[in-house]
Amino acid sequence: MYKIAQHLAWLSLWRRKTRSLMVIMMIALSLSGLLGLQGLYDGMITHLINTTIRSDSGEISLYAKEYRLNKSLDHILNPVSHIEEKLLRVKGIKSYSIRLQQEGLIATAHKSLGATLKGISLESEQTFGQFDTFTTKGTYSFGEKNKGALIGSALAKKLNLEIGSRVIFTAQDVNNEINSISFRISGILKTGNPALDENSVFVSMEKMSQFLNLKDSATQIALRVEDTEQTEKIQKELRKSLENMEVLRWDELYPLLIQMRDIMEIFNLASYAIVFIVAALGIFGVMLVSVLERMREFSIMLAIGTPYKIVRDQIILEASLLGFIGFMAGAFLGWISLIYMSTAGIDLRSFEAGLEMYGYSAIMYADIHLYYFLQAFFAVFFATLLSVIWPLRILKKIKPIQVIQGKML
Amino acid sequence: MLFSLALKNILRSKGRSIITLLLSTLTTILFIIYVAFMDGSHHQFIKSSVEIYTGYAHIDLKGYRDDSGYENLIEDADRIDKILKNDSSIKEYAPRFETYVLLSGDEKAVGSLLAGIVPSAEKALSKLQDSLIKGEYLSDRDTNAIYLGSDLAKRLKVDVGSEIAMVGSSIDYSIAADLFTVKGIFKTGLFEFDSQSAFVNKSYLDTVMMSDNIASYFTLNFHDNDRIDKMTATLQSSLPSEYEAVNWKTLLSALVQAMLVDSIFGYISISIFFVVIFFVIMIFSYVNIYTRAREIGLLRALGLTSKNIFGMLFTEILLLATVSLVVGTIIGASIAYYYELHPIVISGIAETYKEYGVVSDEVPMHFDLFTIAWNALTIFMLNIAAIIYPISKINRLTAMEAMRYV
Repeated sequence: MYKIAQHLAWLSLWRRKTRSLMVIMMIALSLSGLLGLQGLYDGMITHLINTTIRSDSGEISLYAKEYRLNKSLDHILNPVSHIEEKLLRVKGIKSYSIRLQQEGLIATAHKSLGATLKGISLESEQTFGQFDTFTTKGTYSFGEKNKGALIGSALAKKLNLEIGSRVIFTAQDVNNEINSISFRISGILKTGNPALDENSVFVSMEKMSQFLNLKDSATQIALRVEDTEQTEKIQKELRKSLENMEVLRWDELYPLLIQMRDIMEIFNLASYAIVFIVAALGIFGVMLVSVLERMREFSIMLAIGTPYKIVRDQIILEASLLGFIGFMAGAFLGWISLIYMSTAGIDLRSFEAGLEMYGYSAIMYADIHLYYFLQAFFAVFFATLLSVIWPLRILKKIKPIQVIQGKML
Repeated sequence: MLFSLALKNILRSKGRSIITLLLSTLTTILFIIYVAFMDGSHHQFIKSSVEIYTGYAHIDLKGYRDDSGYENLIEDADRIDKILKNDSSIKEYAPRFETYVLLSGDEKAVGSLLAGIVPSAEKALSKLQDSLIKGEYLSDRDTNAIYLGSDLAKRLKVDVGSEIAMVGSSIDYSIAADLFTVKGIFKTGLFEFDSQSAFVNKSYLDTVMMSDNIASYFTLNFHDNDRIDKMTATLQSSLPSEYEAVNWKTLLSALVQAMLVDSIFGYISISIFFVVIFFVIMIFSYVNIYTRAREIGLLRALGLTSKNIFGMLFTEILLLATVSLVVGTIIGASIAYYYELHPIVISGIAETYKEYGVVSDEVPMHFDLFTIAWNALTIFMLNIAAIIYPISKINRLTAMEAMRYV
């Protein structure tokens, strides 16, 4: 009996092809658009998060207590070698980068700007976040005798610097004496992290320590973990062994990124809800007419003893088929667009300056996750069920004999 | 006759009419509010950036914007001053001299922007005085007084009355150094600005930097800032050829671009909603028209042409779309107008997004009649477009085919 209902549902669906196709197109087009946008928006946030982790925070960062509130050399990590020993004992740490930074003034022969000088190890940063891939000009090196410096692209642009240009950096050392140091630009970096690109100059750790009159010291140690699922566990372990330090995850250091991701999720869910409540109205329109124009047919079925359940299932099946075909078509189109956007990306280089201002990449890549499609499936399923409630109520209230005799409806 | 037939059909098919009306009206309201909200937040962003410090237009030496070093300064500021004084389109103006220096408190040194301003003129040109939170604003007679951004004061660990040492480079590239006393602290809400900016009376700074009769640029407001492009072009024609007049659209081009990208994504997001609305209206119209296929066939048999049928059905949607357009526009525009005057307050948004340039918890809507008109017209066209296919499909049937339609 149920097979007959299935067959009838399928046939009824194609009896009014145009109507069914309209519903399928409505679901497919809106769904593919929603999937494309969801992937693209997620991709934008993922890019921000990845860039931040790769270029700065790692999954976990260590600071001396109070350093983040008061970026003074009075609050530094020292001795670093002891901390390194402890880090080596913690399982799950893939790599780490030791950094020493100080704010000051960078000057060329013609111009000066406020900037941050960062002492780093090129090898560590390479393992940590493949730093060399950020190089847009020059080489990823500090040149002979570490006399070179790498500079953020936006800062280089503001100062009109080219490879080989000389800069002087002036800042206070650990004794509060004002010192100056000169470098030649050996490379220009574009990390995508506005704080670094607009403000940072990278020099060798040895030069930096010498400049600030410090030894075996750092302002930040950033860590990458082998398995991101283990980040919290490693953080707890580090907090136990490094009690006098701040051990913070990237999401604690950059809560704004998490907020942006949450807002985007809410936006996506709200979009699905609004679009599919309206789409349910479209399916409802078709299902209602489909039921009304076949009222005699259903009445005969009921009059000859077909249980109401079978008729009900036929209508639900009919709507579900519509929804399912729409979902499949939409998921396929959405998947194609997501594949394209995640590989080729969307080229927005004509808006580069505006996008970079907020840390977005000028070529945007989309994310693809299985849950997008599951979420979409449930939205379509919900819309389909919602659309048949009213037609089924009408069907339940009819008196089959009167309908057959033409006395009702 | 067609009109009365259309009206009767609208009243007879109450379900379809109500759904079409409701959908179109709600979509019109939603679209107007969505765009007003989006534009409002963008205007707020730009207005903050323009009015806090940048100003509506600048006059600088050509090349200054690419390389704002000492090579590209205005070296005869008095000459520009005279031109601006005689230009009736300019409401107020002032020269600024900007340089980057190392400021040191007792414990900490920070690289910062140090700008020489004319304190009295800046009252009308920027929000520097309005943003005072501690101490006093600068006066035109001040000498060693410095006016600091709140976050810069925190970074330097100084307060009103503290002494700050400044080391920089004067315009002949010799070392310039001086001691200043913090006279006041300001907070504009623009995080980067508050953490990197300090101001001194220009006439005094000129003696330290040897920049007398020299300016980095002039900032100005026109009487009619709404026609900024035209005003800037007119001003340009009165300037010597080595100078340029540029307005905020150029000065803040990155911000303008960012807002444009945000708008594009906003429109793409809402267009998905439009796709659904379009199909729902089309489905309801299609279903409604086809349930009346026999009636339409009869009308054709009675002598109405397919053009007449098209006219009748088109009039129906035209009436429904017009009513929803009028109602939706009135409601949407009223909401946009109300929230422009009484902005929505989202507590904490400025603090959370301070690094992104959000300076206020208030998010106003932007009421603009032209924008509202094209928003409403878009929904109107959506309605019209949705009916074209159902009408053309029914008109393809002959009178007999339509009457036999089951």
